[in-house]
Amino acid sequence: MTGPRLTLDAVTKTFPGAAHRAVDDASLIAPAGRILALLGPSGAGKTTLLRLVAGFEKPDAGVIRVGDRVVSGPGVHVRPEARGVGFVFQHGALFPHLTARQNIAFGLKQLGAGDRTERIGAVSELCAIQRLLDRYPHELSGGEQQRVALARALARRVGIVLLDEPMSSVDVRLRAEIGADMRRILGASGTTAVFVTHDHADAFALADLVAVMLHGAIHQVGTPEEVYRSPATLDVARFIGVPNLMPARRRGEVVETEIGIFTANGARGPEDVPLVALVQAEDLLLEPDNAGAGEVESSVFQGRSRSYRVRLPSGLMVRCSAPLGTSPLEPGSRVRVIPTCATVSCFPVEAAPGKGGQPARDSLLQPPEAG
Amino acid sequence: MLGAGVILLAAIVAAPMTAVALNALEPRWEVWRHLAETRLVGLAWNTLRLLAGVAAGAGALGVTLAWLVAVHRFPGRAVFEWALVLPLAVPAYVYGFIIIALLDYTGPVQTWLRSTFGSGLILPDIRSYWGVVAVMSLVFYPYVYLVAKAAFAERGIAMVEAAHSLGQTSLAGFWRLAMPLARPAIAAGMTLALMETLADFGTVSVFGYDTFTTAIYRVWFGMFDRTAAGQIALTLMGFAALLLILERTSRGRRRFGIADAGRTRLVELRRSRAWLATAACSAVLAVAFVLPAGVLVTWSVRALAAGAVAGTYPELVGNTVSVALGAAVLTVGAALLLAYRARLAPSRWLRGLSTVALLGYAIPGSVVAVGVLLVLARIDRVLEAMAGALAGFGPPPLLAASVAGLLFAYLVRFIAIAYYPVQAGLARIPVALDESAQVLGAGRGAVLRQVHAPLLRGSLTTAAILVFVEVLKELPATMLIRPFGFDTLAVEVWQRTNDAMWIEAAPPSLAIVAAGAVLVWLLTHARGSRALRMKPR
Repeated sequence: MTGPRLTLDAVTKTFPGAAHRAVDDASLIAPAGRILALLGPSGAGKTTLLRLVAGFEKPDAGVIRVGDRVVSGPGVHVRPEARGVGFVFQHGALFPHLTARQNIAFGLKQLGAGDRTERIGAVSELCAIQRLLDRYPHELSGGEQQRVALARALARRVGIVLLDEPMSSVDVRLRAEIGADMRRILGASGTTAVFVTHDHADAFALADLVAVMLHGAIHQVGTPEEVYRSPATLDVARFIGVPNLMPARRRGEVVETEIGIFTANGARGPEDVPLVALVQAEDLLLEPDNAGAGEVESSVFQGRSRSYRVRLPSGLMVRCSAPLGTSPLEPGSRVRVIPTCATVSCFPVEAAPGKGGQPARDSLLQPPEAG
Repeated sequence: MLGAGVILLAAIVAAPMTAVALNALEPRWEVWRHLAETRLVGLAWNTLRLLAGVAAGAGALGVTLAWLVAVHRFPGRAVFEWALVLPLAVPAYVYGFIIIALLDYTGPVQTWLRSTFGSGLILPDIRSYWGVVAVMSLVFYPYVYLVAKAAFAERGIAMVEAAHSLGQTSLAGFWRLAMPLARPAIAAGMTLALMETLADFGTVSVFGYDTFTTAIYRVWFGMFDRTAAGQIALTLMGFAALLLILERTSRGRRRFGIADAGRTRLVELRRSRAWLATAACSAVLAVAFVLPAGVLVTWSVRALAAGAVAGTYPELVGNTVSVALGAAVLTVGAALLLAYRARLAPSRWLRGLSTVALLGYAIPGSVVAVGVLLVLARIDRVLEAMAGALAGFGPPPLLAASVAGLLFAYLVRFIAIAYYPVQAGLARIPVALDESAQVLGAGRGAVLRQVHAPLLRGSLTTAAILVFVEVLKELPATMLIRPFGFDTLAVEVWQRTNDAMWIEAAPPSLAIVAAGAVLVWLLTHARGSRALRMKPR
């Protein structure tokens, strides 16, 4: 069984008294049976969008379809329980006075006893929670609660499952394991899944598709690679990873920056227009060279890598991350900055984000200080 | 539909207060003038200095004991921590009559003193201002103690340590840091104590100390003058409002956040000081609880032996338990309605209505009673007119002076007491649980039955017990509204003590105190947020 496609068409929601739209003209397609991550910083409207799909909130405008059926739209509001949609809340929201089994059975009232037992058996096998069925929620770990909550939603054989920050209550060390579990469960059940996260690592690891949401608007939908390698807007680029945003200029087929010449990805705009080129920190190599143009400003040990800030002759700071094993560079030493990528994404400076906190032009060229 | 229920409830609860206020719009000036000339100034002065005295007494006792218990370790601390709340179980009028019985001229103490030291010895009269202040301070200090202890427990130790680190003494830490920080909490506790003082009827009438409440009773039953009683009630309501405003303004713009320091450490008291602390706590507990409880037990045994227990005793208990149970169910139900509606759709006008509905606790019982009677008398008149119009029907039963009227008054007076635990219980249930249940196909009724009800059981029980015990103790409203011949334990106590029949007053008093003590024990031993951790096995 494969779940239906979920379609959002120009969905808008403003909460009474709020200055900004919580969800701003959002259009999105979650393909049938695939996992889509809704990725964005906190306050971007991801959870609101999810609650609109679930039917907990009514959109001000726009249409939401489950398969071909309109569930939210002008004059239409299907109640949450009638949408064929499951919802897994941030911390599971298991009923504390019921066992895992009773929690799952809660949504199966309309079934006969035999069917119910069979359904619970099937879903608990899928979610690997058979031995947890008689425990109360407080006797389960965060990850186990999450799996029971997922089982509770899936037991109703819904076509679409919505998950709000599913990894937030999971211990950091167990994230990868539980993420893989969840991917396996969702894949095996064939449901269409949409989950909300603010962590791009979680989004990339779990999802087939990533939709980046910023300031209530959806900026880009694509595979994890597409979103990481060629962000659609400067804002997306700034949100994902720790990029260097460098002033650039187009010369024929290439763009020229202070650290070299690149093929422009999606070359936009005429020649000599100021551009911003995006160079990821791990795409820069540092070579000790007393005649080098760069000067190491600071270095931070980050476990798997070492991160440097290097001052270029123009005064621009760039970030580089060097794998461990290379001998550490002392602050003050001279280096050459060598790009290891041939292609970069470029954005016209004017096309800087128009919504929310508009950064000043200078600060736009300096990536935010990130730890 | 729930919204309509809330509006109806707010209207019902606000009606008596509105009636009292409206009543003053048709003033009978001659009554006012008479009152003003003869009594009003004296009543106001009596009430004011009583408030000042109890504020000082209960405040000092409550804060000192709270500071000792919340911050220090000394022998018996764990027991004192909750036992010092026990005086709350003794109604002020019960404690009052015990003190009078013991210390009056004809009482055992003075009699013994005279027989030992000669008949020339005369103690100051206990039926005095100081007597009332002492009794009320000893009974009402737990209100201050409870909130101050909570405030000190959060910050006290940290403040003492901060004081030490800056080269100051513990005492400086108390006066200059902990006290100012705890001030809003202490003010709230004092306000509760003073509200009780304003509302008190039994104690002041046993001591023959005239206040607004005794005046209302006397004018209502002595002069049968509803308007005048209403006007005194309005003045009393003004005093209560003034207290609330004072509390609000003393809080000012300050909001003292709760810093959760986790498990607090305690300051170890050294030998002599430790025993001093134990002695102080023991002394207060002995005077305020052990003494009255002991006396009640002794006298009850004596009353039993002498066959002096009223033959109507089973009937008294039956009456009391049935009205208290009825009031508890009614009030908790109403509180649940208010709190549940606020949870489903929080809105400004609804919050306003809830505030109106919750005002009752700030209004003294005698004022509530006057308001309820004014409303019921109006309804009775309408009913009578209707019955007159429909010939063939006899006169309808009167609502004024009925058990229904009594329940109405208890609802108005105690809904706030029930509301707070219910609301706190609901607040502990995350909204995500409601939505989970909804998306799993449960309707609104099913959510209430299958999710909220089991999770709220503890809170609802607490609320019901609180109302039950308050009704058990309630005197002024009961006295004014009860149907003729409908006696409760509290009324019986008051009538016996009015006739100075101390021994006969002991058994019903003991029943009230015992119920109160059980409540105190339950409340002080309840675990905090049990709702989300319970394991119904």
